[in-house]
Amino acid sequence: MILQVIINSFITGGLYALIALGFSLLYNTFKFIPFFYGAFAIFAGYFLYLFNSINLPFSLGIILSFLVLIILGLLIDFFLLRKFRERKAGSVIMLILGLALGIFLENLLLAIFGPNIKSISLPFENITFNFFNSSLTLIQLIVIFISLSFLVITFFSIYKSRYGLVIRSLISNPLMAEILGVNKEDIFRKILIFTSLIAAIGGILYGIEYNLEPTAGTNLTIKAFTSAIIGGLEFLPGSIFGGFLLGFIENISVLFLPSAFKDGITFIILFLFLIFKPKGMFGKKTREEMSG
Amino acid sequence: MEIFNYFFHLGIIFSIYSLLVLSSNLSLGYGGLFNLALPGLALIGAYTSSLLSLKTNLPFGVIFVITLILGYLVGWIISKITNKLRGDYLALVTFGFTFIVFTLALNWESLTRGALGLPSIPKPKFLFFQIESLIEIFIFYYLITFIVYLFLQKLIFSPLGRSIQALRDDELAISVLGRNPLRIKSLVLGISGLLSSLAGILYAHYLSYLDPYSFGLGDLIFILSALFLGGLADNRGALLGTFLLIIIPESLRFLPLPSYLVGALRQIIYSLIIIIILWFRPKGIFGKIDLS
Repeated sequence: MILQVIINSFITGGLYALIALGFSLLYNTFKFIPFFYGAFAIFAGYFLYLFNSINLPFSLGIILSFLVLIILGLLIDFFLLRKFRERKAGSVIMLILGLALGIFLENLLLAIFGPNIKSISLPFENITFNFFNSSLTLIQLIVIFISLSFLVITFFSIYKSRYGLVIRSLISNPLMAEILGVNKEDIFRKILIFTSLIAAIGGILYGIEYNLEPTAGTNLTIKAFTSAIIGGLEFLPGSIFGGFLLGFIENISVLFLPSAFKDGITFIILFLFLIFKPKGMFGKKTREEMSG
Repeated sequence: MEIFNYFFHLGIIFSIYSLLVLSSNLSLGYGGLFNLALPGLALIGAYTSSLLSLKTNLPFGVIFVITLILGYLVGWIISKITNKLRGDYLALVTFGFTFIVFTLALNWESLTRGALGLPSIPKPKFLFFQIESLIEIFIFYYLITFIVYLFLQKLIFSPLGRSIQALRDDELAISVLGRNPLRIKSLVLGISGLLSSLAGILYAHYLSYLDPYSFGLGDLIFILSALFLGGLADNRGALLGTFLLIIIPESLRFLPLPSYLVGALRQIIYSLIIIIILWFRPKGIFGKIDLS
C-alpha cells in the first residue's frame, strides 16, 4: 500500500515538478506569473492527438508537437509579451494578461476539440508490472524516467553551465546583466524555447497518463503554481521539490479523504502557503518585504 | 410575449452582474486592490441565502440581511489575513480563496448536494410582498442595483472615498494624514464582499437553482473585461462595459451552434477584449487611472 503511494507520488510529482520548473523559469525571467502555462502545455497533448488521428507515425507526431509548441511560444512572445515588456507594464497588468491568455487558450481548445475527453493511443502495448502488491505500467515508468532525467538536465544546465550563469544573472539583477553585455532579448527567446519544450513534454506525458480535457490546462497551471509557491517562486530548485511534495501530499490524502478532495487539498496548501509563507519553504524574506 | 420575457431575463442578468462589476471596480479601480475573491464571495452569498431559505423558516428579509453581513465579514476577514500583501500576492490569495469556496461547494455534499445543485430555491419575499413574476423581479433587482450605484457614487465622492483612492495612488500619504490604510482596506474589501454576496443572493433566488459552477473563473474574466472595457475607476463606464459584454455575445445564441461552443466563444471574446484593451488602452475606454 505505502509502496503504491510512493510510486504514484513519483508519477504525479514528477509531472508537477516538470511543469512547475518551466513555470518558475518563466516567472523569474519574464517577471510575471504565467497563468497560461498549463493550457499552453496541454496544447502539446492535443497536437499529438491530432497528428495521431491523421495517421502520422508516433515519433514524428511527438517531434512535430514539440516544434509546433515552440513556434506557438515564440509567436505569443513576439506578438504579445514583447510589447508589454517594452512598455514595462506593471505586475497587475501582466497578471491580468496571463489570466486572459490562459482562458483564451483553454477555450480555443474547447472550441476546436469539443468537451469530450480524448485519449492518445500508443503505438506499443502498455505492460503492467506487478510487485509487492503494487503495480506500475510501462507508461508510468516512462513518465517517471523522462521527468526525472529532464529535471536533472535542467538543474545542471542552470547551475553548472556558463549559459546557466547568464540566465541566473538575468534573474537576480536584470539591469546589471544588461550592462555587462547580456543580450536580454536573445536570452528571453532561448528561455522561451526551452520552457516551451518543457511544457510540450509535460503536456504530452500528462495527456498520455491522464487523458486530455480542455480544462486540464487550468488544473495543471494551479498545480504548477502551487508547487512553485511551496518551494518559493523565486528559487528554481524549490519548484522541483514543491512538485514532488505536492504529488506526495495528494496521493497520501487519498488514503484518508474522499478522492474528490484531492484537488481541494492543492488549494488549501496554496492558500496556507500564500498567507503564512509566501516566499515558500526555502524563502528567507519575510512577509513585510512583500508589501507596497 | 416570449421576446419580452427574453429581454427581461437579459435585464435581470445585467443587474446581477452589474453588482459584481461595481464591486470589483470599488476594490480594483478605486482602491487599487486586486481582489479575485468575488466569484467565491458570490458563491458564499448564494449558498448561504439558498440554504437558509430551504432549511429554515426565517423570513426572506432576515436571511437577506444575515447573508449580507456574512459577505461583509468574509471580505473583512480576507483583508485581515492579507493585510501585509499587495499587488500580485493579494491577487493570488484571493484567487485561491475562490477555488477553495468552489471545492467546498462541490464536495461538501451533505450540505450543498455537490454537483447536483440546489433546486427550487424560493423567490424573494419581503413581509407580505411576494416577488414572483419576471417583471416584479426585474423592477426589484433594478431598484437594488440603482441604490447600490447611488451609494457607491456617494461613497466615492465623500472624504472617505478620497482616502480609498489614495490607497491606490499613495498609501503613505494616508498614514501621514492620520488615517489607517489597513482600516480603509478592510472597509473596501468588506463592502466588496457584501456587494458580491448580494449578487449571489439575487442570482440564486432568480434562477431558483444553484450549483458550484454558478460563479467561477469564467465570471472573473467577464468582470475584468467589463471593467477594462468600461474603464477602471468610473462606475458609469463599468455599467456600460457590463451592458455591452452581455449584449454582444448574446447574438451567438441565435446561431445554430452546440452549447459548449457558444460558451467557449463567449470566453474567447471576453479574453480577447481584455488582451486588446490592455494592448491599446490599459485604462479602459472611460477609465481615469492607469494601473501600470
